[in-house]
Amino acid sequence: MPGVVLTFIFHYLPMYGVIIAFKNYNPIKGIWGSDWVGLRNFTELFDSPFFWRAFKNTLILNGYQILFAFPAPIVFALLLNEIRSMMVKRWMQTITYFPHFLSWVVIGGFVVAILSPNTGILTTIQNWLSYEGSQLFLLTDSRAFRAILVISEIWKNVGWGAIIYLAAITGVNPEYYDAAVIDGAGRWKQTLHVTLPAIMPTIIILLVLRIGNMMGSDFEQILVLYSANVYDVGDVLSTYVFRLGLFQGKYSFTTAVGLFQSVIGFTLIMIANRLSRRVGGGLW
Amino acid sequence: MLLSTGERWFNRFNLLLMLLLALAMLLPFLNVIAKSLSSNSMVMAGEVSLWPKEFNLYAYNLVFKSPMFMRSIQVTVFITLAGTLLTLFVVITSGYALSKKRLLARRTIMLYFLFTMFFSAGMIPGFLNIQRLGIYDTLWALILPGLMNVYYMLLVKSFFEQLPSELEESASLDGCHDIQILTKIFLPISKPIVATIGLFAAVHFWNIYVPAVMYIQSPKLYPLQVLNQMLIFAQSSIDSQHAADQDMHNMFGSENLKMAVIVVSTMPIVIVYPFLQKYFVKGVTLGAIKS
Repeated sequence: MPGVVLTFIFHYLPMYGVIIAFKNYNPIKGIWGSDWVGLRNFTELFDSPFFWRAFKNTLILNGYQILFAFPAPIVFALLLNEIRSMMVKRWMQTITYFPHFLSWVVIGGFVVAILSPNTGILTTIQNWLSYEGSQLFLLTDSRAFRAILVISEIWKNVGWGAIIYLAAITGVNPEYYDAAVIDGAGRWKQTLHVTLPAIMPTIIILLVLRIGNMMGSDFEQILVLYSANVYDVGDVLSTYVFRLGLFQGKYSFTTAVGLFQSVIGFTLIMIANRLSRRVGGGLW
Repeated sequence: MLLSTGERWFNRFNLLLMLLLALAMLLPFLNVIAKSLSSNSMVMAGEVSLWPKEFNLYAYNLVFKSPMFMRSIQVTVFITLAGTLLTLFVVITSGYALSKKRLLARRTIMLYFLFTMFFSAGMIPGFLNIQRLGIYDTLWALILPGLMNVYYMLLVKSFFEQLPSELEESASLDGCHDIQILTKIFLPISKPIVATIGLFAAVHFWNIYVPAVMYIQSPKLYPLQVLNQMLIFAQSSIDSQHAADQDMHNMFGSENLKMAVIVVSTMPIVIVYPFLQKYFVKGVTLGAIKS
């Protein structure tokens, strides 16, 4: 099976490279030849304010994403389910799934097209309303940056995320609804007492997965959208590793950061799986 | 059915909400298209919203005449085609093998794959690995690491598992071996899953960005998204660094051109998307419910 070989080469071989987190990596001496330094990279890391900033940003940003971007597809699926006209439903699905297939670079282009202080449509609208726009480029404004990340995430993935909830809603036995109607439940009550409980297991599993995925998510999105102006709120662990490791050549130090990140991520997923088993149906 | 006033209001409100949402999805596209078709001065003046002003195709002309842009299109088309075909090959063979209960050490192989979904060595060891393999700064660095995607493989596996086992039994009675069974019996009825994964893989390779930033150094191997990113986020004052490439130099700072580049690089996805949509919804939900 070529799959086994490829997985070995591109997933297991790099794990050997992790040992440079405990070394002072020197490209000339190679991975094995470099000197051992024990935990020095890790102590340096825990002393670094920039590392803690990135760690804090990772937590805060993911907190926002989970709070706002995670429920969006659920609400969307519930509302879409209430649409009677099949044609409208189809069209809505076609339109809202689409942005998922665009790259973050292209979406970054949209963000610039909307927010740019000279040419952006937001400024144009401000001018129409003859309101003196602040002429601020929101993308470089650290107060707005996290909101931009959350909104663009919702914009890209709300429709796509709804697929799975819609499938779960379709799977609900219609008899439950009939019974609810006989009990005098209106649409709101039906949603609250039939649909929502029916998709709850799906919601919980995805939530648990999302929490388990906190450490590495959003890397590409942030990489495309951020700039030095917003490092204080937007620099997360992966972008921190990226900048320091690849552009400043601090291989050993950033491998230590990456290892820290992977271990936390792995632990989160293990805990998440435990929890999801408790609420019925683990991930594996 | 009799509707109460409350429900009728809800229906109207809901429909309105959906309309607004659809607009929110579509307006950025219209804005970008309008800007790409307008003159640069109108765009710079902030005059263009949803309808082109001073309509012209100059930006597109520039894009398609730029050797740098055409080269990156070639690069992207190549990695997309090669990457998609190879992904399908790797994922289908692995998924097929794992869907068979008689496979030796099935659970162990499964764990071997699943583990990579949850733990990775990290960015830097991955980077050093690519260097040591000698594929740094070649297109293989973009294609090979992405071929074995465990999630796609799980989709394939659960697709094969829900097919009736009689199919395979009768074929093996007729003297077919595994490869024949896979190619002659299973593949012809697997259109939905092949289409789904083909689309996902194609989109992945078309949109490839981060690996390109990490593993590609020569500008002549830049895929489309890297070029896009450089153009979109370039300050108009940027220069020098790429001044050698005169035609790149001309491109910076031209707003309608940035927009034209976005439109052109999105087009292929717009074109294939409607044809494959009916398949991927099925493919995704199938995998989701199973796992």
